[in-house]
Amino acid sequence: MSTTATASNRALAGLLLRRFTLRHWRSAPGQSALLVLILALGIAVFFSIRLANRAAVASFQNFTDLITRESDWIITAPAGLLRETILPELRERLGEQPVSIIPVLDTTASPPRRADFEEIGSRPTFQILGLDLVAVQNLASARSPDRSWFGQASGVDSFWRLLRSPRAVFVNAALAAREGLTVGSKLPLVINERVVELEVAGIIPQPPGDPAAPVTLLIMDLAALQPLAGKLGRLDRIEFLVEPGPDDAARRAHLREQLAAWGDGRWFVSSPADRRENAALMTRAFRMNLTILSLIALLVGVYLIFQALDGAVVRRREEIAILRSLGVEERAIQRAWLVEAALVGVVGGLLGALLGWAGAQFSVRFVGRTVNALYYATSVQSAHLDRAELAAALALAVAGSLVAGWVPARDAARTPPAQVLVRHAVAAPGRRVFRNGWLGLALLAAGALLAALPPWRFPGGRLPLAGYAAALCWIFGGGIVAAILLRPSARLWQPLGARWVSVKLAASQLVNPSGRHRLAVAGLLCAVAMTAGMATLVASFEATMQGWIERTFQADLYISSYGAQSASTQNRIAPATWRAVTNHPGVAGFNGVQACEILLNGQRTILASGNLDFLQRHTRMAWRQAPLSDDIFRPERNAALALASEAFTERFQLRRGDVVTVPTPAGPQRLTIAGVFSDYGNERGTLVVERGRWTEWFGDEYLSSVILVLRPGFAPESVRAELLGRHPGLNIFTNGHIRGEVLRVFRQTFAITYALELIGVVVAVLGLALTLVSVLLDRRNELTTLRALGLDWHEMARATAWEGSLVALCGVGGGLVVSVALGWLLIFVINQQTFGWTLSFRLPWAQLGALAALVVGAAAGVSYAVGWWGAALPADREE
Amino acid sequence: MVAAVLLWLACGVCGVTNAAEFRPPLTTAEGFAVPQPGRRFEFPRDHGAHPEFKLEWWYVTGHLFAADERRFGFQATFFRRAGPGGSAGTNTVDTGPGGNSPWFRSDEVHLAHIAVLDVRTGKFVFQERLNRRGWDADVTTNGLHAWNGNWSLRMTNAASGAMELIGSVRAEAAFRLALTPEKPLVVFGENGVSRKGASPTAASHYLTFTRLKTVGTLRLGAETFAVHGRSWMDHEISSSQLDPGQAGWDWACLQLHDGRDLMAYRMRRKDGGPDPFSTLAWVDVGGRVTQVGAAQFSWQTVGTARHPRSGVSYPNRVKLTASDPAGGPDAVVELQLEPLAPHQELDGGLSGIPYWEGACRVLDAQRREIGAAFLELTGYAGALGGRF
Amino acid sequence: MQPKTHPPLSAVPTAPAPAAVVLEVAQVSKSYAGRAVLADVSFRLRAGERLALMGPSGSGKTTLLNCLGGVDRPDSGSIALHGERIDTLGSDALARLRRQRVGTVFQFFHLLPTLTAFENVEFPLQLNGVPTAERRTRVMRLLERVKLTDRAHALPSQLSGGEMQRVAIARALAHRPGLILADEPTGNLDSANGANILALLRDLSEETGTALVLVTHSAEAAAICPRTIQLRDGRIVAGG
Repeated sequence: MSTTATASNRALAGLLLRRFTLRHWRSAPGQSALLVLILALGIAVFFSIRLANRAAVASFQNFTDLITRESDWIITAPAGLLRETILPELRERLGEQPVSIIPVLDTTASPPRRADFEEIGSRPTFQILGLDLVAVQNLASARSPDRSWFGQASGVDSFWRLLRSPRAVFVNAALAAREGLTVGSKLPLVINERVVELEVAGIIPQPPGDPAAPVTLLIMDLAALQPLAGKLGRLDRIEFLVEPGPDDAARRAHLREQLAAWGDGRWFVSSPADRRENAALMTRAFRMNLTILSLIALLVGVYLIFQALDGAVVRRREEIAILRSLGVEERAIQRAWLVEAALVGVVGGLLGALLGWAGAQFSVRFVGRTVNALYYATSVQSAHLDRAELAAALALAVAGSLVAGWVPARDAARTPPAQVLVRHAVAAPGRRVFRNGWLGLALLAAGALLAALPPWRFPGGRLPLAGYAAALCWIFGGGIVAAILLRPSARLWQPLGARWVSVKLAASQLVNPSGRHRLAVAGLLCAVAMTAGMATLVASFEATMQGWIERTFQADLYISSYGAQSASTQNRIAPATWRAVTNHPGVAGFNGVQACEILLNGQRTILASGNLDFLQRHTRMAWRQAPLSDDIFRPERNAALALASEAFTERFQLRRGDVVTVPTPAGPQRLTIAGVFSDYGNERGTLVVERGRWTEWFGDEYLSSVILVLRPGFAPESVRAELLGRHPGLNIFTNGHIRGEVLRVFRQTFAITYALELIGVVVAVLGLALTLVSVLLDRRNELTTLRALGLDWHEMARATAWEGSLVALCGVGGGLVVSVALGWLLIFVINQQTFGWTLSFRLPWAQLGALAALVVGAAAGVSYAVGWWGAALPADREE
Repeated sequence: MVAAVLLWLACGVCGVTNAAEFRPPLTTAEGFAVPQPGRRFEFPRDHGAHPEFKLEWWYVTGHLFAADERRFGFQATFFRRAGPGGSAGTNTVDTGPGGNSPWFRSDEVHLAHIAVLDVRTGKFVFQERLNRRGWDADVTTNGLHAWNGNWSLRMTNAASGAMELIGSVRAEAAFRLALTPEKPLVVFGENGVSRKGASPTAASHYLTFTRLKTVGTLRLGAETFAVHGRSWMDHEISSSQLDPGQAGWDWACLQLHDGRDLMAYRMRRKDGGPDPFSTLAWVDVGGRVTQVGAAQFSWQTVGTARHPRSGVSYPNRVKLTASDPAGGPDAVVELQLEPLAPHQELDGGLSGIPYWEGACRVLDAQRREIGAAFLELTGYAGALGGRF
Repeated sequence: MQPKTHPPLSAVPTAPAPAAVVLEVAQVSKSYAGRAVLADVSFRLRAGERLALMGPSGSGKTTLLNCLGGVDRPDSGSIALHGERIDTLGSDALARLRRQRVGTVFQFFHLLPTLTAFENVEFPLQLNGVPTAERRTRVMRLLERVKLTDRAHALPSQLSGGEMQRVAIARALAHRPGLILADEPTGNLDSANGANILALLRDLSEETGTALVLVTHSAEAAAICPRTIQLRDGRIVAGG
């Protein structure tokens, strides 16, 4: 009688792992490595995007926190700046309460020009904080034992010299090291529109152990910065710090109530956490979209793993059958294959995390550049490893592998024992789901319904969840339908088989397509549809942008400060300067533009002003809702009118004719929206009023930019050179230059989609190759027979090539059809709902044709190679 | 920060100078005003700031009592220091190119100290604050209103000289006191000028309310007390430094139960020898001043205490022996000062000058308590001569 | 037949009393797609008996063998192994059956390609949780018996056909089953090797008292079995 003991499940699992899985991996290290690498790449893309996103968000800091160790409350004006005079008012109202009041000035600057023409955003943006350097020392947190503000210079009366210096600046230790700055070095910067030579007074003192201030932070005395920044008598914000001690939580809360009550509309109260949250919200839609795109890379990896594991099951089917015949239960086999999948997940996940972290150092720059251009100034250079994200990536890797390995494991478990294993069977026709045409059609219909739904609105943005769901439905539905169409298309080819043997063989295979074939078609369709859809989106965007640029940029010269290098720049042009510029004899007319961020209904948007009659005369606006009369363009009649950008109306859900109340330093102003125009400059929305009104409300005549139209006879290039010579702190673009710049910035933000498109194509072809490999393995006997019948290798390779091409044709054809739908979805639903931009639909025929040819060609080539390999397979004997 | 009055000795060991011949220059080398003999003071205006002078301070100390035999000491000082570039004789000071805003000036800085002592527990808390002249710290030039952050000293009634003092030490302590002079204002010195050293520019105007009735509230930790007591207020105006040969000074103000007040000042030389400008002044019940010279009183150190945090030793138990004008010509009185708590040091984190300023009790020769005092000891953590 | 030059394995007391019934097949029938593959097959096999199943291709002998091994299930009738009905067992129980009570030798050897000869023979013992030391002894003894000690660490790809089948036989016996099923064991071997294999099967069956059912269409192979059953169109036409 045999022994009665039975190996425990764990011992069995270990046995199967050691003796089979690991030995197979060792015997084919290349294949195993490839498998792990595929998953690792998917994880790497996902992980690096996530890390980059986090770094970009973290890079927004309330810089004052570095000095004050996080204030309790911050007050800012809803529009524009605060007046200094509220400081004594606040102190008087606070009375005896021990609260530190910290006024802050905040402006941007950039290094001066190096060459004649430079791209916008190519220079770093420095943040200059103006603080009362004397008062700041009273904060207990600000004291650093080894360094103070005033102790770094030496000599008699150094304190008074520093206090009275109009140019003294404190720099970050890293910047000093990089630029070789010491006390007394000169640091020229463009502040507003002038080049100012600042003098380094020392290193920013920081309590040891605190995170270092970013390289781009500079600190000056508030009194010295005010005139340089053109903010005499003004403050950017005021921060409050409650004296820590008994019941400071209650005092903190009480202070907030008091501040809110005293504001009376002049300011609103927030906390440093609020501001960080705000910055995160601003970019949330952008970051979510990036994450979703990166998930696609992961999905693709999972799909490929599935293909590879499926193939492995086929290759090792005999071994599994033997195990079954020797008495290993189904469950044990399934478990063993799941363990193998999980192992791929763990190793792939770890490798992917490593690659992703390295990749993040590059992707963070891309993300940072985009955020810098579109949202707020950031100079983030590195992404550090975040433990939570790492855990998530690993979990995703293992989960993805298990999902990928689930079906192959089940197939393996169902392998019959060796006695019954029929080696000549036709490969299974495939899972039910791929044969159900009704399911496919239902999914297509569901997608159409979802595409009609509005976006999901959350504070700070909107996310087109229904749109993404519709895309998924269409991809899956399309995949199913295309897979079903494989058979009829094969039938179409059969007549050709009369002439060519290889075609006949191929067609005969596909007339009864296996589940693998169908899956390959679906996979190809998915990849091609996504790639082509994105290409359509990008092409449409570019076409729209070019048209918009054509219409909008009609003037001769575009002038802003050289320091305006990011979306949150504060560099503006002083009245003296722009008056001098516009008084140039060559100037026929000009538009002076001012813009600042305002808080409207709890959301940040932009209030701008300009000479509206200039708009009418010199710009062909792209109207979504054109103004009904000319009133908006007449300064004498447009006092209560405004123009709104499409993004603005989408965000706030307004239309032409609606009234909107905007906060200004002169109190809330009611404006009627006279017209809605297309504007692709930002997605926060812009509201435009007449320049005279702005000056009334804000009390200053600084301009963000000046647009000039020249008289005939004056060449733009020479006028530009003259003006630059006199005002080196300006940035002047001719018409041609500015068009190029705007286009360049937009192309930059789409850089990553090109990368993803490439991945899509590679994946599609790889998937097809893996499919064919496993299919051929299944048909090994047949190949031997064919060889016996006298078919040579060329013929067999050609047969496979035809087979692969036909599959590819189905997939690509279906993919292109679905891509048109996807393109429509991306443009008119997803993009519209996220950013509020209307684009014109443009199918990039050339690109799509090239894509189709590339995929089918690559498929044919790869299939030929696989066929060649298959022809060399030994006859069916014991290995 | 608080400098004591230096009196000319009418007669004394160190020689005599004819006061009538004393003609100091109008300005110092830096361009600041020099105290001139015979100056007419106009009040309430002259209770305020004098920008033409370089250094000025308003210094208030006092003893407070509450129910349940609780006893406290407090100190509040508002100090104004002008930067280089003052113009002689005028009321304006060049604000310098960095001072574009009237709210953030660079012509003066204002330093303030607040200290509170709880006698029962011995807990001593203090806070220092330095602000530039501007929205958060300033002193009016017409009448007395000095503030620094949430601390302030303000004359509420020009006729009576009543003042209100609001101070706090972070979130640990806070007080609001009403001060009412019980005696008229005293001007120490000769002809309105009190000299500190041999140089003719080393002088100050020294105005003092020696006895102020004090009523108000004091919060320490979680407890709030209704307090009453007695305070002393100095207002000194000058532009000069200490004599480079001087290391520091010991200064005391005493308020005796019999209604008399006493101010004594011992200058210490670096070489350890006696300084002729030390002085002692009696203020009788009616407010009349009698000053005596260095020869007519002695200041003896009876005990020292080493401050645990800074490691500096302060001679804070003192015996004053002086002739008593209320007694006969040979009457000598012995007054012992004993601190109510040993460690009352202000560490000078912002000013760089640590000193000891403590509430004391006054004992007679028989060790009976006859009054309360404040004792100030400076220059024990590095000489002040040449820095101040 | 080769003389026995290796110690018999009969020292190991595994077989039940010679008269016990190992296999009881009663009126087993099976059809595929309307066509009867087995019809009313009945026979009995005792411990240590050797039985040859013969018949032309398509006669159902492989199907019958599969039913005996618990790999296939008859439509009607019963099969009892050591008194227990096996035609009603579930998938897991059948796997256990294969693991513990039945050993199979295949025409195409079916050795596990990643395991050495030693490991292949060891595998059933590992499945059954036999401790390491005991495993080693038993495997070495089996390999000695089939004269493959010097090839113990070779992979199947390095073995010849005859060697592989010998390893397979050793594997089939490793867990001391009461019944060995052999499906055309010499179908892939030349005549010399084939003869050796048949002799080995016969000798081992006698030594260990293990019953043997041999499916073959070679008269030579049938010769090692005292009993023969002839099948035609699923029915027993001779023997039984």
